[in-house]
Amino acid sequence: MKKFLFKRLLQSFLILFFVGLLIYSMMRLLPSSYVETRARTLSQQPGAKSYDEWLVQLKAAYGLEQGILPGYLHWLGNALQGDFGDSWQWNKPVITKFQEVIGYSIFLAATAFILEIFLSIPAGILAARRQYSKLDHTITVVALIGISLPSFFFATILKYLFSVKLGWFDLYGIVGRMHEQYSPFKQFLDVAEHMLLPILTLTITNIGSLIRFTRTNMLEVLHSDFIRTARANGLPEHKVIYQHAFRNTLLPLITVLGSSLPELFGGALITETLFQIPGIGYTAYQSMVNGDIPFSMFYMLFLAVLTLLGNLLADILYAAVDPRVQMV
Amino acid sequence: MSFRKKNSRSAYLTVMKDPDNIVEFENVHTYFFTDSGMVKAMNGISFDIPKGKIVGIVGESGCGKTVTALSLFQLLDRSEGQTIKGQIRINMESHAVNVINAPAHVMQKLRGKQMSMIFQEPATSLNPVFRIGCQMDEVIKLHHPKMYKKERKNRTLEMLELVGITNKEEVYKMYPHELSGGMCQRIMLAIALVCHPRIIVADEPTTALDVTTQAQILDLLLELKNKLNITILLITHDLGVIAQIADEMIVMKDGSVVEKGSVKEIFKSPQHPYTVQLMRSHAFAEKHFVKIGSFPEKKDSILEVSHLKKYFPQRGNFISPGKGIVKAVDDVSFTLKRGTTLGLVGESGCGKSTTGRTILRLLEKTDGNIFFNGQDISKVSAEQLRLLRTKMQIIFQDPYACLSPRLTIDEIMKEAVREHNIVPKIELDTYISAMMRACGLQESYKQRYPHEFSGGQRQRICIARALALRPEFIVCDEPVSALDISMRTQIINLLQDLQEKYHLTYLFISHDLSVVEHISDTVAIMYLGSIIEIGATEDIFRNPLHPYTKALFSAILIPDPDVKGKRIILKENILSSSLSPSGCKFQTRCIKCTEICKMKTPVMQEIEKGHMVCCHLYDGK
Repeated sequence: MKKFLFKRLLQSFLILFFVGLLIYSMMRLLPSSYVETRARTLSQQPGAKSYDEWLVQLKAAYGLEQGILPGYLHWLGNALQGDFGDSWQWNKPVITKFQEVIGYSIFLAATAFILEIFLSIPAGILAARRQYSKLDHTITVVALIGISLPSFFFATILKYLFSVKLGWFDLYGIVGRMHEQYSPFKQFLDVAEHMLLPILTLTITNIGSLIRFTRTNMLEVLHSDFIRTARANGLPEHKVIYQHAFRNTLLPLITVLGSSLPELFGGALITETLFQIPGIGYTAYQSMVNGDIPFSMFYMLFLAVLTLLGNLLADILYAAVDPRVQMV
Repeated sequence: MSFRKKNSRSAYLTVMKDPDNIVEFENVHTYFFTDSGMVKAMNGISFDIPKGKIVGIVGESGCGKTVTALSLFQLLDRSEGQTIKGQIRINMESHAVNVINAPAHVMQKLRGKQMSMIFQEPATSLNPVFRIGCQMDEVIKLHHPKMYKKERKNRTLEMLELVGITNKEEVYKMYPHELSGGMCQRIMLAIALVCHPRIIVADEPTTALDVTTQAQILDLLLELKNKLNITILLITHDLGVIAQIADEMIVMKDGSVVEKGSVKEIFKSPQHPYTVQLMRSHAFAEKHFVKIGSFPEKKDSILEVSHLKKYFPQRGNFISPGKGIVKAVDDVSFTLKRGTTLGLVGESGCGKSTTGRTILRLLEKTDGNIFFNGQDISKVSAEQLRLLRTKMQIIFQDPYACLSPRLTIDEIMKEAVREHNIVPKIELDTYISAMMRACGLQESYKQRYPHEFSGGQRQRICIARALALRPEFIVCDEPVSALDISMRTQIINLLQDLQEKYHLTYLFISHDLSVVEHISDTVAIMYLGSIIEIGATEDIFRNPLHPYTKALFSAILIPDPDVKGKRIILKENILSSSLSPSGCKFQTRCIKCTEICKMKTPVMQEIEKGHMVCCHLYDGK
């Protein structure tokens, strides 16, 4: 076990190094850089220095005069000491900005995630139990719609219907205009109300694949020999399904749940942006658009770490739940 | 079947025709409704199962044997199969229940308590994520909800002991994957017995097991029947199993009973032509002492294997890290003459398949030499090996898994032939057709897909595919184990015909001695990675020397109820190869084990010409 963890950790660091390099190179090679935009703005002010002068000065200030590799190594050196620098876009340390926004994202994603699980797993089991029935077809169609609906499209429909037509919710933002005057409890309700549509968007668009996955797995398990044994031993159907079949369906689900770790903490970039929820996804989007290298780097590597961690977690959990799996 | 519920509450209650019967089938019709129409899986089946008897149902796959069992349990998938007509009555002493009319809650109380079932695949029939004890406890708890936990555990342990599990406390805490197939079947039996049912249905209980394990399980069934006066419905395709333990038998074909009666009478004078045919093909496969043709002298050797070793590193698990190696093949040597067949026999896990694969370099050997046509196979480059592949082919046990389901037979056959330029492009079609005809396949099959064929035909396709590369040497890895008995005979005959025609050399791997006897010139018996006896087929069959070989022979089921051979029952289940003790590998199971066996590893010695054995019993003789 120790050896396994050590090996995986070593692998992870190697992967992270190259992922970081890749992202850094991409950010540097983008056609419109942060400094160019800044230089253009500053040079257009009355009596200012020329664009080229500004550019040289800014490049030096932001450490962009060195090549890509030295630049990356410099960043990496600081990052390893826990210094991720200041965000260019937000004018504060990357970590501070991250701490400010991550809470919204986690709240949004966690709620959606719990909803997804509680809706999709029973739906998937139900569909599998009544394979090819009307119920199964209905669930399958819903799942298919969920899979094929792009979140930006679905979010737009929701906003049009509930915000524009019915006027139930605000179109954008995380708090209403009167937020400051409310009592703490009402403040919470206010935030919750603003979160409703984004959560709905996330749940519906993610639920499809999970339903399909549960259904397929359940079907496979239901056709296995030990289910026949359970029935032949006189177990009532609910015990057959929820004790014998479900434990076995859970095994592959763990892998899926493990891989949804980045989804959970990484923020929903599109949904947050559409609803202008100041979560990590929305913030990262703005940072990237404006070429804010320190924040983007931090965000991307955060996602990479989450992905690696999620996979590791899934592997460990899998071995813990399935007695047949042995750690290699 | 919604009309069922509308019947009056006790419509399922009935009376037995004869109170001495446990179960009566009367004119039962079970149909399957598939996309391609209705299949009459049971077409008017009637028979009785008397109390305290073993009734065997025999027939080839697809004849409706299993459907009969599932109909009794009403476990058929409702959307597909339904019992349309007839009565299946189960005797409950005070009354009788017609299971066809019984509502779900009544059936649930019958299943597991009044009647229980064991299946063909013991390993997959147990839930992999629950401990053995938990799975047994569950059944008792279900049918005896008032019983205390302590009492339930005692009962469970008692049952485990009853089915011959000595380390019951350990097994109680184990998961199914930690146990061998034979042990799993014992557990299944223990679960089946745990509520003292009136009848046990055993659906091919030994088909997936080794011969020696099969003998153990059959003896156990017989012992339980005598001890507990239990009634057993035994479903099998193997007449040998029926002859050895059943009292009465039913012969089924295409959903109908063609013959029923006492085992002794039917074996003595079978009435129905189908029964006769079944017995003949069985006898042919089981006993065939007449060797066809004598092989000409002076043959050059095509394959020489010396001191072959293949070790696998054993991987540890989560809690306990890796512990050493598994010696799957441990110092195996033999020579194979051109145009002959060597039969490699042994229980599953003894390394016979690994040997075959290592010889073909499908696995890399750990040590030793393999000379094929005088060339050391382990030294050739990847490209040379690719060319050599045409000369050495392999046929596997499961022909379906070997054929890509997305390719037509034509494409499957042509692929490798084209790759190796065996014939010019223009002749390709005629060449393939010729190969197919040689293997008993019609040319018109070319455009079909693998799933459109029966198991036997698929194996023919695999043989034809191997043959099309014009090999000199074929490893046949259990090629007939998955086939019906009549199919087996055909495939074996085909292999023999092809051997004669194309001068092929076979390494024939099987756990079934009777099949090996029929096709092999020499036989090697393997135990835990080593060859323990090797010699000409006649010598081995006439005069088996090693105690293990003798046990294997005694485990062969003779399809004659009057000849109940004394079976040598081996004590323990096979030890994992990694734990091989010092001294003779067989010592822990050997009935003739002496002090020297525990100290010193025996060496190969020639007892008669060409007949070698590796056992201390023959020291100094």
